[in-house]
Amino acid sequence: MIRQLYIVVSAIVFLVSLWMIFLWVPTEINQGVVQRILYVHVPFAWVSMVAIVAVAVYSVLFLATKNPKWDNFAQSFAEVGVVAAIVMLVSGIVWARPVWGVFWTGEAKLTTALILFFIYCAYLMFRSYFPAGATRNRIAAIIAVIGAIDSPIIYYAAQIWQQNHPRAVVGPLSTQESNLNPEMMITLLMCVLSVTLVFAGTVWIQIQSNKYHGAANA
Amino acid sequence: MRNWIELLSTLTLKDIGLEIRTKEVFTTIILFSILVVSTFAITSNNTLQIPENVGAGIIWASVIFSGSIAMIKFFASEIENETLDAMLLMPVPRELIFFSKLFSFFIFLSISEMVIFATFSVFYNVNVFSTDVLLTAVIFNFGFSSIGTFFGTIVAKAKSKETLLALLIVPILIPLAMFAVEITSANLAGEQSENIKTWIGLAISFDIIFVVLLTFLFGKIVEE
Repeated sequence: MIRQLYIVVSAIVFLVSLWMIFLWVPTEINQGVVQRILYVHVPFAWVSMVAIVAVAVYSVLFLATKNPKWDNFAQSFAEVGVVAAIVMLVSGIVWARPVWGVFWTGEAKLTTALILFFIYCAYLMFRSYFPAGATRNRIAAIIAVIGAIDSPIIYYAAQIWQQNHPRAVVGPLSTQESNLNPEMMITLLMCVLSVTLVFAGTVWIQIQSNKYHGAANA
Repeated sequence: MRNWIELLSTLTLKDIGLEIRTKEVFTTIILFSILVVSTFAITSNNTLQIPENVGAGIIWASVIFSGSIAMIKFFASEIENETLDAMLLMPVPRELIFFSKLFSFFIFLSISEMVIFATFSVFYNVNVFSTDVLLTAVIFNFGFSSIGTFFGTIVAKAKSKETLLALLIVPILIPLAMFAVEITSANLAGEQSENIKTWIGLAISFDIIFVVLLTFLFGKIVEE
């Protein structure tokens, strides 16, 4: 019953957010229609960061308790999180071109997001390339923890790097602060809610799938 | 303490002796890097017009990729002959085994880099050798060797080792790579990096954090 209710609520919120993005929210004056990418980019950035934190937290829990449940949680968050990160990166690249004038810059947040994406790809690749078992799960958790420890260092290094290599671009909005009007803010929050609901549901399905897959292989 | 130093030097000398006989790691790093550096030199019409940061990027990218391939070779014989398992059975702390591998690879990488720097200097008509770059190489090699040794041990028994190792090492090494490229490109331009102290501080902190962390974790990954 709860599952059915969750699906119905998620579907309604999702449809409402689509209506808000395409029909209700006003078009931003400076960027035009392309600004609507915000309503996809920010929610996916949010869930991919949640996924990365969750992978690190569950990996630490797994290393501390050796309970395979936490390893399954970490793996499931990583699998769904990597897909969310791809959407975040692609939508960001598509949005950056008309607004900043380039597809990519060495900005600290962008660099960190890309490197973290690679680290979690490596985490998932390791899981599929290493013989299944307790050793693999333990090492995968260690890789996730190392990735989490490395991320603030990458961010700091990218910030110093940026001081010497300023943004190559400069688009119409480069010097302006982005101020969202109330309608845009409501639409953004609705999109964040809708993507979070879909993300949580997908992670839950993935956890169940990995649990049965693991039980079948055991 | 004295026994530990003797054990460490024995284990390191064992790797060096093996490498002198097989020359696998040196050959891999040096040949692969020279191939990358010379391919860029041949395919660019005029090497004198290559910007400094691109030149520095070529040097360090070739070091990172050739080093990760060499790391596979470094562990291949240990896995094939099951000598790594034999070493782990020795009544010595696992940390010593980690450090011996780290020091051996550090020595191989440092010697190979001198050849790479010389090759780059010849092809691009610049002088890569300077105190700053040599100091950078020492800090970079220490971090690379610790991360490479750790992940080299991990992927030794996995499928597609080469791809997996590069995918594990390169993203984690990014801060060190940024540091190395920054200092080297400033040197190639005949200047000193404005943020040299910040970069060196960051790189040394990176080395310390990862050597301590990986030394602690090495015991956990070789538990079984």
